[in-house]
Amino acid sequence: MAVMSAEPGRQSLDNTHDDPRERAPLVIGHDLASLTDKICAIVERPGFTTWWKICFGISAGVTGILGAMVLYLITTGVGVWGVNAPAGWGFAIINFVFWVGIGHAGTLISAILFLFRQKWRTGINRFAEAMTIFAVICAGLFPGIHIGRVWLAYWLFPIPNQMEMWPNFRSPLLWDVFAVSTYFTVSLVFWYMGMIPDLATVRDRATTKLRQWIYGALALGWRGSTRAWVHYERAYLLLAALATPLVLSVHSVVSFDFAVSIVPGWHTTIFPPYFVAGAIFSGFAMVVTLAVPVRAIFNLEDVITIRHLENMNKILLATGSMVGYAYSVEFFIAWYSGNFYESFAFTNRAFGPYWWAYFAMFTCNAFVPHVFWMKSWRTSPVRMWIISIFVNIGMWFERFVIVITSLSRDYLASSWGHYTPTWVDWMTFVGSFGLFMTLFLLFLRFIPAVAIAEVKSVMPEGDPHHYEHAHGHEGGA
Amino acid sequence: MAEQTKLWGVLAEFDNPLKLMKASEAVRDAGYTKWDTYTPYPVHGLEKAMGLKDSWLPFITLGAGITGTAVAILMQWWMNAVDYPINISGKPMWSLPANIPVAFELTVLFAALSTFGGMMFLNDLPKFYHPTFRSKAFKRVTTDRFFLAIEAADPRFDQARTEELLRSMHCTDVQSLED
Amino acid sequence: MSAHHKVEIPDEQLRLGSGVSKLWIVFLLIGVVALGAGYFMGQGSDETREQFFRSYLQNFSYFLSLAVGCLFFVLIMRLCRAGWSVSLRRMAEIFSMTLIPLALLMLLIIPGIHDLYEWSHADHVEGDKILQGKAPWLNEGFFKFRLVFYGLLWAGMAWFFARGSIRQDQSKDHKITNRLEGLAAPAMFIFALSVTMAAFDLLMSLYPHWYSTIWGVYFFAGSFLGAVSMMVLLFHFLQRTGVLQNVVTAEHFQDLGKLMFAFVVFWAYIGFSQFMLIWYGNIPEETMWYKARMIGFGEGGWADVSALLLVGHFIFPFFFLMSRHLKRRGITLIFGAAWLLVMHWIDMHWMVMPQLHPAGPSLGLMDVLCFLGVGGIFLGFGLWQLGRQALIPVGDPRLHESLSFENA
Repeated sequence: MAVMSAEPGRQSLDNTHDDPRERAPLVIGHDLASLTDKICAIVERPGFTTWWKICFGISAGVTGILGAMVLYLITTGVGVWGVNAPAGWGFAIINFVFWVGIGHAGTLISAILFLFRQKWRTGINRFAEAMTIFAVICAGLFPGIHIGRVWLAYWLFPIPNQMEMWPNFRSPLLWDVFAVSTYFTVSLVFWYMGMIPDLATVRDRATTKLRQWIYGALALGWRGSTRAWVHYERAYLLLAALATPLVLSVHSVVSFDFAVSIVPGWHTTIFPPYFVAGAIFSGFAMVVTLAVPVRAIFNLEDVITIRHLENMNKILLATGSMVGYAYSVEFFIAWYSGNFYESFAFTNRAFGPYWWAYFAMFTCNAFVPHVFWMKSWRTSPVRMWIISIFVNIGMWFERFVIVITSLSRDYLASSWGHYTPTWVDWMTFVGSFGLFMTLFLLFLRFIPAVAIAEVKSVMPEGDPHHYEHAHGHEGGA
Repeated sequence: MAEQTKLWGVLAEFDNPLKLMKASEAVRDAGYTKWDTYTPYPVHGLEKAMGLKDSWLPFITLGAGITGTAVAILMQWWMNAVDYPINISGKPMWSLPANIPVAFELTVLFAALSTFGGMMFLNDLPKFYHPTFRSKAFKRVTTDRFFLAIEAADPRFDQARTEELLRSMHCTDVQSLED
Repeated sequence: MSAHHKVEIPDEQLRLGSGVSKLWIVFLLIGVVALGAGYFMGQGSDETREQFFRSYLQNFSYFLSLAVGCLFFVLIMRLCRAGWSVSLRRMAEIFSMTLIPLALLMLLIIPGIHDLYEWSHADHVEGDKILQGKAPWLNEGFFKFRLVFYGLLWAGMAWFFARGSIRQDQSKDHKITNRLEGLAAPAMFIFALSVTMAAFDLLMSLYPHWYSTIWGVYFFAGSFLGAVSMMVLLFHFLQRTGVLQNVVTAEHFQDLGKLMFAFVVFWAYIGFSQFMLIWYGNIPEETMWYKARMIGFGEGGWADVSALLLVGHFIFPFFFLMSRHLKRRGITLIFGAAWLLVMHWIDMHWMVMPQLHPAGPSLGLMDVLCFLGVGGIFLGFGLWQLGRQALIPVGDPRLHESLSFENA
């Protein structure tokens, strides 16, 4: 006879054990009420803490630089940047792809991991989604200001205009407009819908009329009715099912910007899935970069546990390997193709004038994450934070390598050139981090940073069966 | 309470989801129709205990998605092949492969927005007033308490008997609510 | 997840019935006879030889893809520490072990190298700069070595992961789970690279001038789709014989159906990415591959097969598998799985055959014999192994999760 039964659970602060006989707890030492208290306390604290004010001050200052740079660009012209023939795409496109890529992790966590029933996603999905939206805002900025005459940006959309012209739908750049704006809209809807029950929680706990009004309006009158939960959960599932191919499509479309052309090094069929893997890789690195300090500052170690971080690092390892796979296949086929220009493009990347960028990219993306084979690195917040920074840097350089090496050395040696970014390029890039951090800090201050209702539904206390037994523990990671 | 207020229903409070589930089964079996439960998070299995039907939201999503595809294809065809034809890199005026990405994006956009809109519509949201909001105890519905409300409009509603039924299901408290 | 009640399953539910357990001999016999007949009929003339080896390569690749897909199933479920799929894993383990006979069958490509691969002809390479450049990779000696290498590697991996799981049936040692889960990560790494390279070698090098970096992913997408569809059919077949009742449930079938749906979309995504980029770039050396598959629309040419794949491999199953009810009902899911297995075969046919029959598809006796030949050996070996073990990993510590698993 085959007899199977669940073993009684075990609780400790370290939940990274790998005993296959039981699932590790995802929330340590909380019941439903204490969890709500803990998360809500962050947004209910009166006034602003000192560290918040300092961070916000710095971020706002850096955002100011961004504003000044954009103003300078618009009043003077795109000549203030380093872009010129042959490298007509410089920092603007690099930063655009970099930020869009970062945005992908939020949707991965909220949608794809949801479809895969990865319950640990509930601890981190709220702020990963927030990060997505802010990253897409930063991304959208760059093509917006790159077009030169920003007041004509509406030409990008199929809006009737005085010249009776329509956009060219055979251009991948126009696909980008649709992909990124759809992505932003859908991510925002998904994020907001996920937030409704928690906004209602903050509303019900409000001690002042103003808070009650604001959060009450945002919560749309949500009262946790089961008849509403049925539609709500179905909507959540449907949005996840829609967001999953969407997130794949967005970076695929971004890769089309390059791959539909016949520029050596750009025109290769693996670009769509390779870009998607890279995007998720960079996005997860950014989630780790943000999660580690947030968790330490707000003492969220019992909600965003070491196991959450370990899982994220495993995903970093997996996606990093996918990126490494794509690098290898690209390199192999560049040789295998027998195409002179293809193989030149790749030797040029590795040994040409931008070898340092290639070196940075390859080291940070294809080698450094492999330290996560070691559990001690996967579970140490300080170490993983450092690695995540490396990955962020590496993924920025990946876009630099793709954009710049191919443009500066294409078919005709007579039209080769060298791209050098100007100080305006650099300051605009730095400024975009200011915008990102400013939005993120506002989010931390005013919106529950962890999806309380979702975490409750994966806690043992959330399962009615829990109350049938004295010792029933069902987590699941 | 003012003179013209009338009874909306009774509200029972439970301290764990299991009791609520048992109570829901009892209320369902007693034949009530105008009633609902309220929980801080979606309780798995409660919809079965209440005898609720599946949501038909997917059909809204599917319809909107197909509409999005059609709109995108027609728009691209009309704009690039009919109203303003222009030769781009020797591609046909009407070149379907190049139209797939936008068609896909609009499919998702239409479907996603309709899913959210449809969810709001089916749930009768936003709705900033509801009789349950009158209850002080109900404020904990978004934290750690579980509620069951039976409306007075239910044909089987009888204040004494309904409250008795709820009390027999181990609720921590029963109160009646004005409309 | 309500894993709190004990689940007890009678032993006879977990063993192949005596009638079925003898079936493997029949399949194996059919396979050997059909393959032998095909081989000897093929010796008649150059033309029949070419036809035999083409058909053989296509059908070999087809069943290889199913086995490789099963190996991926085992590895990914280990890697993710999946609970829901534990009771399905044994089937994938057993059918990934068919990589052992397939490793031997791979050797049968070697006598056909000259009939299949242009790059193996010294006189062709001589006048062709590009083929000369590829000679360090595409030469007979190294190619044969790689075939043997892939075979040994996959057979070894499949055997290793299946053996560990089977040992656990007796020992109930949960440390085996830990070990296999840990090893699944590097194994996945090796798997991805070797499958990509094998897809390049077996199928892409049929057109030695042509190249596509996404080729390996395309092959993989179809493989996993085929493997999951095959598992659906096998489980339904076994349940018809009376075993695995209440072990493999509608919940599992629904999830397998979801995987089928996801990989229908993934296949389309990869296929479209490859097509669209080549169509848009419009470089002759790349478009030639698709050009061969886009002629004779409406006249029985390969364009018709391409259109059939678009509709039958994507659009129809996409809408069909969307419905939760169709995924949970036995008969409709069986139809969907069988449909996709046929489509996957057509996909393989479409990849391999246009070179030999440029005007359009022409199915003949050789295709039937090779299908029965490789398929018979594949199924025969699988059923034989299936009869020797419990049908589910009875010693797996996560089995209770799978048995009580419900779709939320």
